[in-house]
Amino acid sequence: MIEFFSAVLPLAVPSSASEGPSALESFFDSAADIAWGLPFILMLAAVGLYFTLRLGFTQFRRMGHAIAIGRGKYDEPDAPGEVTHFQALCAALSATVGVGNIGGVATAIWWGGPGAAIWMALFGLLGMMTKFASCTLAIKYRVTDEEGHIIGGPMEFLSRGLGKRFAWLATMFAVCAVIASFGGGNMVQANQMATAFTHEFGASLPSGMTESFALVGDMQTNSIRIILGLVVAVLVGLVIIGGIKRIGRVAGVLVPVMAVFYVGGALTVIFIHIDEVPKTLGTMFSLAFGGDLTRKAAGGAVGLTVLQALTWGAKRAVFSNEAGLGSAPIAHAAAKTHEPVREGLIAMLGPFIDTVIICMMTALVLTLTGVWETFADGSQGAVMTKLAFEQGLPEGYGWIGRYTVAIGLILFAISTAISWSYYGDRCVTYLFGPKAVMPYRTVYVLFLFLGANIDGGIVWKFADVTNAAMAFWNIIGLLGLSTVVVALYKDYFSRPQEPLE
Amino acid sequence: MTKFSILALLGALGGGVLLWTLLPTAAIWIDGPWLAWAIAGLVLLLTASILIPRPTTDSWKRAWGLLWLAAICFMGSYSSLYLLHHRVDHLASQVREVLQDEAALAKAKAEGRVADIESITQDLNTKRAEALASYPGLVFDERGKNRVEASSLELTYLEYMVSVLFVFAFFILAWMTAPPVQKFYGFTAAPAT
Repeated sequence: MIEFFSAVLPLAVPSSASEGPSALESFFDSAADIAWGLPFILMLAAVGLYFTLRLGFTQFRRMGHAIAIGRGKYDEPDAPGEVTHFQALCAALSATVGVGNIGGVATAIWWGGPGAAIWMALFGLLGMMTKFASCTLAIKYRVTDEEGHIIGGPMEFLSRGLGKRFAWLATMFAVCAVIASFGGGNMVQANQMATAFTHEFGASLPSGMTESFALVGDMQTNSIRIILGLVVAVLVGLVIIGGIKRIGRVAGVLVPVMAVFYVGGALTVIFIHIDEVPKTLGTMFSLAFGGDLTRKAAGGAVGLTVLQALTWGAKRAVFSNEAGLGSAPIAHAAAKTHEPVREGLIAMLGPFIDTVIICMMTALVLTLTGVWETFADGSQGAVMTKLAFEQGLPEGYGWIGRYTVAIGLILFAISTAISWSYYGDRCVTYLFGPKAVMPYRTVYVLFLFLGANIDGGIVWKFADVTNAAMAFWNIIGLLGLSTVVVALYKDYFSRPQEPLE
Repeated sequence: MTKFSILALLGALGGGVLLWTLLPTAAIWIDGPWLAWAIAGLVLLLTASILIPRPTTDSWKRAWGLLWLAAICFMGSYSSLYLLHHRVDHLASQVREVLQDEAALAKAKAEGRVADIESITQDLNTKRAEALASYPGLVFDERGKNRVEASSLELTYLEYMVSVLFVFAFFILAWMTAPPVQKFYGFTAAPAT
């Protein structure tokens, strides 16, 4: 089996580092960078700001109510839907809490300085309102398919909310989401997970195990990747076969566990350096809004300006919490509730947990340990964070920090792959009907295996572009239906909201 | 729908004034098609602002199409600036490396390290030739370095400007899809809100 896969797959790592990127690869590289560039970032920030102002800073005023919903005080077991509010939040969170929380933060701080973390948090707060609006609309316009499962999200609110004239926008969204589900949601995650595993644990596997798979060249790594690919494909397949109910149950356990595990590790490092925390926070704030600094980096002293801090903070915040992409509303649409606004309120906790809490923890660890300043290569974000966790712990215990990040990466990657399958699954149903779901799931699982073993190159970059494109269709729906969101919000809070428990 | 018309008009005029103000002064490489894209976008936005107040389905369709085209033009302008920015940033790092090597060479000469002098000189010549091939008029001193860095900053401002214009055009076209707006223009199949 291993021999077969080794023979047919261009295994694991880029075919040849010396060859350099082809013209097509360079094109897609630039296309992906431009698609996720400044216009995209400013558009999402502006949408968040628009809803923040129109709904009077709801993300701050209604936080208590949102937490109460998450705690199950407003659960309606008999309402239409498939999962509880909390399970829907966890399913959405498991897609967003990923590599961006570990590697993305490090990249932002390396390029933009510690001030970028503050901008990340601020953009996370704006993203809360974008998510509120999109998830409120997802419940309002959701439908049930022929097999009795819920379909909701931008494809439904674009076609049903704006009218048939705009059904093509919904189709564009669904097509982009399906393609994106195979890229960033699937193959990239499998590859990151396999890389983290082979990096950290590859050498420590029992020699008998690795020798028995050894074929040619660096076959130890390749064998581990093949086995990992199979294991993850089977595990994810077992979860996604059960639909949103099983995804919700698994995410309801996995997300809190991985969040506590990773945040716990970060808090340990922060507590060890507790004396320096106030000063570090002060530096982060001053660099975010005022002072420029110069850091010795590869190629000489590089000045880091406020503008760089803002740009990098914004970029990584959007990348991490996905607010405005239109992915999370697909999961939230499955919640058991009669109240669209209620789901919107719990959904807005997503960017808060993802960007304001988890990303800030990573940022503090990177800044407290000073690794952001000494690390040579800003593109190796996950490695930088791993080093920060390692150096942040007392001598002799560094390995715990290293393993925390490696295990975090693996868990985050698996959970992201699970939730993204649901997004693709619902969009495939929207496009082709429920019969297309099983073939989609089968191909999805196959791609997971492939992702662990091959370098996707152009395919990943193309998926990156479609991932960003999802937001453009979604934003049209959000702004076109903003009056509906405001009306629903006013109606909901015009009635007394007593806990249902 | 006057508000959308005013918004589009403000966007086009404000963008024009900003463009005039921000036109590059440090100017290394800030040429290329970005300006043509940006001007085309502004003209389209201005034309859309004239069509928006007319309450007919045809003017909605035309204005909406023009807004899409304007958004695409601003995105095209951003893409062009982004690629330029990459080249300028690469040039900036090349200049920094040359200056570092020059400092190292001076130190090696002062300390009389003959082997080092030879290798550093060779390295320096290669880097200089590469940088000059990218931009022939380059001067390798503090002034030259400042000029490249100033160009990079100007590019950042220009990127922000066309991005804001893109957001402007995109927001107006998105708002124009709202069911009450559809009704205003006489679309009979607009969904109820």
